[in-house]
Amino acid sequence: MDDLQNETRTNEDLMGRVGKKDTDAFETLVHRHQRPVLNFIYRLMGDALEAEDLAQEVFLRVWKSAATYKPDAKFTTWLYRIATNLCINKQRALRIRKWFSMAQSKKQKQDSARPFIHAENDGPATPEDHLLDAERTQQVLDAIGDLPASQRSAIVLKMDQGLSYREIAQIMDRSVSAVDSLLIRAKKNLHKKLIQEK
Amino acid sequence: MPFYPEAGSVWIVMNICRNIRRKLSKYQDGELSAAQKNTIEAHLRSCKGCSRYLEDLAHVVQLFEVLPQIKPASMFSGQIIDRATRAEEPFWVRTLGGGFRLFPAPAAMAMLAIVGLLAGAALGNLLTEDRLYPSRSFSANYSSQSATLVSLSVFDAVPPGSLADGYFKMASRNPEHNHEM
Repeated sequence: MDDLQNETRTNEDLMGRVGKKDTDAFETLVHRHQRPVLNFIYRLMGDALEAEDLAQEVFLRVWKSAATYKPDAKFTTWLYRIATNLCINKQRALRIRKWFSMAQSKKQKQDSARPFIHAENDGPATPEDHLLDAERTQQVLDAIGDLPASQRSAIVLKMDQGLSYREIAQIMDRSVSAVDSLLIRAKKNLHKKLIQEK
Repeated sequence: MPFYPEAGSVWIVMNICRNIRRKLSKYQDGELSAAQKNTIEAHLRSCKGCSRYLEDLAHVVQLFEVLPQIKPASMFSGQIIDRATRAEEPFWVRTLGGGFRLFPAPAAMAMLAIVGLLAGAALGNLLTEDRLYPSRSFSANYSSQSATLVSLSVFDAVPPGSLADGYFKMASRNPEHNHEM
């Protein structure tokens, strides 16, 4: 009964309950946002395993900071800000680790993670198609991964999450015009990398 | 003479195109007002270069469409709830694990008994002098004799340095008795 009531509640209302350590409300919130958050992180990190770990970390942060949450901005803005910051920190840590040990290439890592990707659709008909699709996906993820962190966050928030410039600006703590510039540069870079060079 | 106006017009056209292209990303993302949108669309109808630029931007959007949507594993939310509820537990319960969660009272009693035994043994061996066993303080003349005596002490009912030895010493500690000895 309580679960059914939670389903109809707004994110902000649920957060009020999560602040009082209501696990049912928290579960509803996780169910509602787990997929978009997971995909957002996957596009930023380019690694499905890493994405699952980080997505769990995002929701744990939500649980821990729920008591101090103030619904000044939209819940999703707050949620994606946590996710963006976690990803940026993780990428920074990975870059430092990579700098110290140049052994493992990103490609190898993603190959090992690929079996854990649960594709939404059943995928293409033939193994060749599947291979081509996987290769293309990898190229796009690599190109996104090569963008500077701020451009990468902005383009994924826009293209994947469909957020407005104002929401992206709030998440990234930038002005709307700065977000516009970031998106123009990100699109140019991706075009150069994936279409012009093809 | 005609050169200057022509060059000027090329420059003006280039400048217009540059301004339009700067706004095409926003136009594509639906971030312009109706008036700005109309201006852009009017320009696009007459400018092939800017139309091509918009097509390029559309290709970038298409790139995102090839990316697969991944869905969380079935136990994803369960794991989060589990981790979240564990985060609420006291530090010692989190550190010592599952037994405490299932049987908190017996586990706490067992833990206290173990800590008590270890602390008692350590205190007994450290604080009590070896007065009950004068034979153990016997100093052998030769190292081989000493080694034999030490090795034989393992057959004692209460070997020196053991847990029981510590307790025995603590329990038997009596100032009057010590004085007599």
